Amino acid sequence: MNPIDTQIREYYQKQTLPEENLQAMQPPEDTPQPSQWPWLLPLAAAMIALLAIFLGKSFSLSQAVAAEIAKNHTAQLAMEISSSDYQEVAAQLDQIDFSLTPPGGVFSRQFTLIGGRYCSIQTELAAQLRVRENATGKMHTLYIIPLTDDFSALKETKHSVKGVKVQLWTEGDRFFGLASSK
Amino acid sequence: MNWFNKSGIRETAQFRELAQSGFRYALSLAHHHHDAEDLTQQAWLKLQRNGSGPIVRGPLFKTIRNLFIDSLRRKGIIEFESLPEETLVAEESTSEPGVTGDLEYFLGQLKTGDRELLYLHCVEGYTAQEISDLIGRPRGTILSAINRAKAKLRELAAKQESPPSRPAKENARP
Repeated sequence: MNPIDTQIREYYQKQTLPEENLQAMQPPEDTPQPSQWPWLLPLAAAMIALLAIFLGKSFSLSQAVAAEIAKNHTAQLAMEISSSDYQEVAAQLDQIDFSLTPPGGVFSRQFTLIGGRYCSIQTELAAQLRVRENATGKMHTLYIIPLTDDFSALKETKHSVKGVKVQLWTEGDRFFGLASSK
Repeated sequence: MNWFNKSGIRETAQFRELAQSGFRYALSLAHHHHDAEDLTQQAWLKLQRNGSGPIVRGPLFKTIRNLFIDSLRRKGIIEFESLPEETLVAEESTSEPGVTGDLEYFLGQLKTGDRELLYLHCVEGYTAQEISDLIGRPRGTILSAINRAKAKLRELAAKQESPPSRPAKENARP
């Protein structure tokens, strides 16, 4: 470094801002500020608790429905009406006041109706339909349940209960369950 | 962020170092202790009011510089803004001698802009390009002015100009 640079640096480094100026520039110590929303914490806690209850209830209901459907599927009770026509089965199950048309999409092309009977899922009157998978010939059980408030809270889920795969979903005003032996 | 949070020994040291740098930069502009203290404090408080983050060197220097220019304008002084465009001159040799005599007085004889450049270059270690970015002048002009200012200091020292009836405490606080 050039000597004159050093002299200039040393000159300025000897110059200091007085302590009183430093103190004046010092911002006040942080002090805890009262929360602007003191009610927010309990509200958040309450919402989390409600959410946990809701999710827990939904989860347990979903599990219960899947378990009941799996049990019914495994029982392989005889169909009261044997027909491959959904309208004919619906006409015979005249206590049922909701549609027994098959689910949308490719279901009708993939499965053929074998027959149907009454059943109940979670005390709700439901239709239990036996269907055959066209590609494999494997028998499955389709459950159609009116969409009550309890069922409407359930998400589309898949379960495995004692060797039975159970798929649950909602379409329109109906709740469906499809059980398949592994 | 508070420079003075309770666990912030490092922050306190950084604050002091930055505040002193700001003050020395202000002194290079004003060449007057009391004015430099005021400039530093005003700039610091302005940045504290305006910004949400920690105060850093670049904005602090720019704020000090702007406040100083404002004060010159209020006083009707425009000398500071005229930094002549000059061609690039060669870097001086490191074997060039220093100056003997009252450096503070010699620095006071320089133009404000030249003194500022010397401070940024010699004390803060800014390159010509960094100074150019800070004050918005071409790099060549910066280099030229730095060398010219050093030459002026040597010239003053060579003439051994003693401070003519310089007030005893020109730069001291009133």
